[in-house]
Amino acid sequence: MMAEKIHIYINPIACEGHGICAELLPELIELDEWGFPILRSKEVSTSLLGHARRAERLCPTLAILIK
Amino acid sequence: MPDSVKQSFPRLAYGGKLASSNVAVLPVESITFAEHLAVFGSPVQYFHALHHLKTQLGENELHGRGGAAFPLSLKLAGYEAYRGKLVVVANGSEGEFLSHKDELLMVRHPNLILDGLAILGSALDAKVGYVHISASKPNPYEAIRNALSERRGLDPFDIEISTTVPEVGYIAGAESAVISAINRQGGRPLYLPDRPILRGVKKRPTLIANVETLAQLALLARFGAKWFSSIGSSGDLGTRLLTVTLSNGSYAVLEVIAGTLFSEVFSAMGLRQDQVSCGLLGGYYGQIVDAERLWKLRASQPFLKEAGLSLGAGVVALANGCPVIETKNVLEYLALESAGQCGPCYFGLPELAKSWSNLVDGNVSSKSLSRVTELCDQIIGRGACAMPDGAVLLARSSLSRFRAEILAHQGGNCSYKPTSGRLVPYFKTLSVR
Repeated sequence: MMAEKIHIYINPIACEGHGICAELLPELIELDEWGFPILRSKEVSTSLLGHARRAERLCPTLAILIK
Repeated sequence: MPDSVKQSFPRLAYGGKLASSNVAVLPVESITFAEHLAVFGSPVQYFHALHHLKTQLGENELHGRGGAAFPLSLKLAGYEAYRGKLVVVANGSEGEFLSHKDELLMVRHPNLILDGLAILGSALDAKVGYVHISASKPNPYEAIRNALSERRGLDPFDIEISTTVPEVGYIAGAESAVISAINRQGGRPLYLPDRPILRGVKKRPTLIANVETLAQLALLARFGAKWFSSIGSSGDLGTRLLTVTLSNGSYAVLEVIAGTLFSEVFSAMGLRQDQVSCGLLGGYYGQIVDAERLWKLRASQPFLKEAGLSLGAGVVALANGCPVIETKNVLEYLALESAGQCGPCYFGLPELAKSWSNLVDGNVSSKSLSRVTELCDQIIGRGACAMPDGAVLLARSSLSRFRAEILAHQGGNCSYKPTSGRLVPYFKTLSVR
């Protein structure tokens, strides 16, 4: 069976720019000059999945979705 | 009137003044339901006729007139799986300050729009329809309301009127904002990342089509594909409505044969190229082009796409001032129009406008220029709706197209005369998040 690719989504309306995601997942997320996340890649590799899930769980506004 | 309504041109502007062989003025008087039936005949035989509709659309494509130019046949095909569950919406919200064609069309031809909505909706067994209208435009509301009451019992499903939320402004016409308004969720764009159409009005699959698209469809269904495609240009058939605005605030809504040269459109309006310095082509999701180039372009989506431009919802706003200053005006306006929902738009667009204003003030060092580029790169693709992308598109295009004019601002050497420009409304005030 082929493994489904896992993606990360950020809801730009929910996001308030706390910036925790960039601390927890710097491999995929950097912050713009106002502190809002810019995704380097939408694809989450298996090695980063644990970190990505943690960012999803700890985002104060629940703006991250890993799917 | 009935004998010649099937003439090839004018169509939507039937009964209006022919300004040239390819340009007609859309009349402003409302056509009553009785007149509508006398002129166009009843739409009833085209209801529940999916096969007929597919045949007509399949032979000759009708592209959407709301700005995205999406082929209607593909839209139809995309929604077939949801037959029986659909909500259909005629989008007449026209959030763009510069556009008036939907407003005037709703006043002139409310029944053609309703015919189109009923034909499209019934083909997919829709159970309910809406006509979505700007809350700040009383005339279309009145016209649609009268038409609905005059034709009560005719349409194959209930059609209601909904309105935009007044404070939302420019972006009120975005599909997700329309859904949000009808659902009474505030009328601002929603974040609907995958398949936004499937969780639409009342969480049901929702097909949204521009009012002009539906009026064109009502004619195409009646008179057939051959008639529809007898005029127009390759890849852009039939006619389209344009709103041409002048810097003194006046405007004209014209029906033109797709592919008509803008020089013909403007000269039909009595305009000379030397009266205009530049124009915003495609409205606020468009680009500013100098007059010399504009005069040589054609009112055709594929033609303009080839040139890296777009007709958008058919807006051409002409100005007689400096294109660099006009760019600033539009960027400032778009910054004020942010719904304040997404950080990169709410914080980014004012910063982008500020960086452009800096150029206008004569600070044109490579650092000032690259600041604009840097902001564009940060903002692009990061809003829930496409509005911030439109601002980026405008800034990037003006930056490359008007480099010499920008540099002339150093030391105040701009050679354009000052303008009282009307590319943007001046009554907006900044709202606080």
